[in-house]
Amino acid sequence: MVMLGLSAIRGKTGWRVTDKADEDLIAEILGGQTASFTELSARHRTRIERLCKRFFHDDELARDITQESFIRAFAALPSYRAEMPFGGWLRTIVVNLCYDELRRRKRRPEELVADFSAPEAQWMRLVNEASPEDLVGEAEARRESHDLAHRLLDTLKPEDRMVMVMKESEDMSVADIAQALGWSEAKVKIRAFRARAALRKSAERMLTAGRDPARRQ
Amino acid sequence: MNCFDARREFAALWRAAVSAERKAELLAHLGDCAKCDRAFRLFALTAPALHSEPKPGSPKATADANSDFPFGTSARRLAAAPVYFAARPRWMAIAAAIAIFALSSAAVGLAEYAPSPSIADAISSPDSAASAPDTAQDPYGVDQSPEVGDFAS
Repeated sequence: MVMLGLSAIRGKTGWRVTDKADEDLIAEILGGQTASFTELSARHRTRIERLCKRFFHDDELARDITQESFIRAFAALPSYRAEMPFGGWLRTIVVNLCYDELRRRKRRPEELVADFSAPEAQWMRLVNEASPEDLVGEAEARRESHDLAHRLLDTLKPEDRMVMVMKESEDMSVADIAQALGWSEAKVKIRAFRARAALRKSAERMLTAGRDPARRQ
Repeated sequence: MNCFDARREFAALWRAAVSAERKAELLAHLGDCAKCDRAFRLFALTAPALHSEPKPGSPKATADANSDFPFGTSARRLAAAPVYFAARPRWMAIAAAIAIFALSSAAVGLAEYAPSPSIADAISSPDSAASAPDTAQDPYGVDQSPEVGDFAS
């Protein structure tokens, strides 16, 4: 029934967009106009999918979690309180789903940080030898720079990875991270410190292995 | 520019969010300071995942995803989707685990220290008072019959 409602408002030109506030759309949904959820989700989808891709290099998985997030949000909409912006409330759902998924997945062993394909080895040579300015430009152009960066993040514990992404990528404050994850602020700070230390250690190993292939493990 | 300021601006440099003047200062510092240069190279290894825009997926996969968003093939799951608590109270799980542990420990303890059936029967039987040793005279209930205890006879 929901599907029919959603399909009915899809036009040939894409999603219908209005200038209603999120809260107005939510009131409509709670009043029975479930089709308004399509617009609400379309508004936030890009940002949510981008956040999921910070956690997972697999695009399909990121999209699955995005979709699951909206399903959860729809089911939990009656519990939404307007004191918090809808975007922040939705982000809380997303980060908790990502956290659950990270805990389900096995951590990649650290040995993998020294196991490179030919393009990856080439990128590692650049990291060791190119000027900082060139590095920035080259990283954007190379897929393998993203692959290796995610491989490094894969070595972190799920808790550490959550904090790193939320703090570094999303620029979230310690208080916001604590609220989203249900942790104390002290725990967030400790996790951030440990995450940076662990990441630095893995990156050192990767950089050394990239400079001196004989030292790869 | 000192090392602390330089390292704080790595992310801004990566995201091209610094002015040309500041960028020149930062690059000059990286050229002069070997430690910061090394730190930037370490930063560059993780920055594509943390500070660059995520790479887009293949066009086909994106089109498929658009066709069934937000529910699509997952519509059936919507009916079964549990109400999700935005900030889940993890302390409840911990409290439940502690309660289960305490209850199971208490159960094991009770089983271990429960009186044996014969003693329990003796206590609960009506003539137990008559058969019980006279603890007023002999607090340890030692049998002091002449056959056993009187070695002098």
